[in-house]
Amino acid sequence: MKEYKVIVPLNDTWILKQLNVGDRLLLSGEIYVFRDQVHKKIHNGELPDTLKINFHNSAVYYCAATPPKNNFVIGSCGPTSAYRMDEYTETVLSIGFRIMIGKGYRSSKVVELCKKFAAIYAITYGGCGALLNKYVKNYELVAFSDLGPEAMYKFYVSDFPSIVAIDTNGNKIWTVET
Amino acid sequence: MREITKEQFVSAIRTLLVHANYFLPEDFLQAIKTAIETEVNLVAKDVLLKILNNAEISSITKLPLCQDTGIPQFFVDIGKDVCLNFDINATVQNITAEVYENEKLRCSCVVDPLKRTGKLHFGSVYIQCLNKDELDRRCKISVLIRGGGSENTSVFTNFLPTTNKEEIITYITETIIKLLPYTCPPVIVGIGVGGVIEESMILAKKSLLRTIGIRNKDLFYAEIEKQIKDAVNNSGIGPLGLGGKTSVLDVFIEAAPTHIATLPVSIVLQCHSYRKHTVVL
Repeated sequence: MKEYKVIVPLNDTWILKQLNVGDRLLLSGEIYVFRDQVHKKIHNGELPDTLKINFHNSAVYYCAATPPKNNFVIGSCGPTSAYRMDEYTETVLSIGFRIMIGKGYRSSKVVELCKKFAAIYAITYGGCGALLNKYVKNYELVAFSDLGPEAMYKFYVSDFPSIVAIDTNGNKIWTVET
Repeated sequence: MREITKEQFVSAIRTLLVHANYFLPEDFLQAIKTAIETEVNLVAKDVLLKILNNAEISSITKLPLCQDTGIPQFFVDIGKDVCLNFDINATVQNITAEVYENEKLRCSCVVDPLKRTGKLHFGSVYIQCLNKDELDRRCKISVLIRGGGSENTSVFTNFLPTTNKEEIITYITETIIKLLPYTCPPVIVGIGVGGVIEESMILAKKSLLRTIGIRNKDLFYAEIEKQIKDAVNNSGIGPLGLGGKTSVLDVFIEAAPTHIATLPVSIVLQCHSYRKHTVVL
């Protein structure tokens, strides 16, 4: 088990191929944040073309944070269950995303897609939204503001922690059938 | 007849919501500490330590324990000599909206489930009039704050009344193991057996208000609770599904009379953000 500090968006996807299941991944830079409804909108072609170019070699974090309070820039911001995005994952990878962060197991189809796109899925600390707050330095709204907490945001993160759960070779951290 | 005023009730609802969103219960924290001592998987140990760390941060900063501040589910048990002369449901909705707004808790509900339109703060309320001696002149209000992940990993099944105990235990165990990785383990499991169908689910949810380590008074069910807990922990799924022997902290079963033709079973998984609190008025 190794630890990798990675800057996102990636300049070079070479680093992703070095990651193995179980490795610790610390992300710094900009990550896009969206979940169920935005996935559906992207899948249905409702994403403005002007935005798509930004997603090249980017990370997506499945999260809907609580509002900022008490001088914190954002509220609690832990991951949501990733399996609900499985159906839309091919679309999201095809527009440039290469790192997915969430919690829980994914379908065997997503494992195959990670291999096909040389992408990875990493699990972060589910149910620890107050703890994860400290890794998010700032955030901004990107699109679909009408969706409220589950709109598309961008988080500016520093050493945001996760554990590689599917690597680019199609290995996965779980042993059960999914 | 003792009257509980609206002011007393409002104050209790406020206390429940504020407390449960920032403080995990003592029985849970103790169970996590015990698990840390016995867990040998280092990743599992790390996750369990982070759960304690998160609880500490939340209690100090008043950032909610989990960003999914969910749907608060209230269980109001009213003794037979108690009178609440106001609209309980409307009061709960108003105070939930007020507290969630003031405390900056996430607005996680849509008004229409299929159209997915409208946002609101919402609390579910189950009122039961009890005949228990200890509650004669009292009203007990409990809350479980449950996120979408925990709700999505809760199921109901109708069995044939001739199904034997072993088959039911196998089904429950396999179902829990299958659902575990899609919520946040280690979980606490509530199981409702019998009743009419909605009653079985309420039994399962209300059982989650029990203290970790306390077994069903009926030894028959107490034994099944232990059996299911051990079997699920042997699955190796572990905290957050990353491996280890701490998948479930406890299993609670509650049973109720049922029809000769039916055998309803409800299984409710409660994630490790075990937000429960009770106030007795």
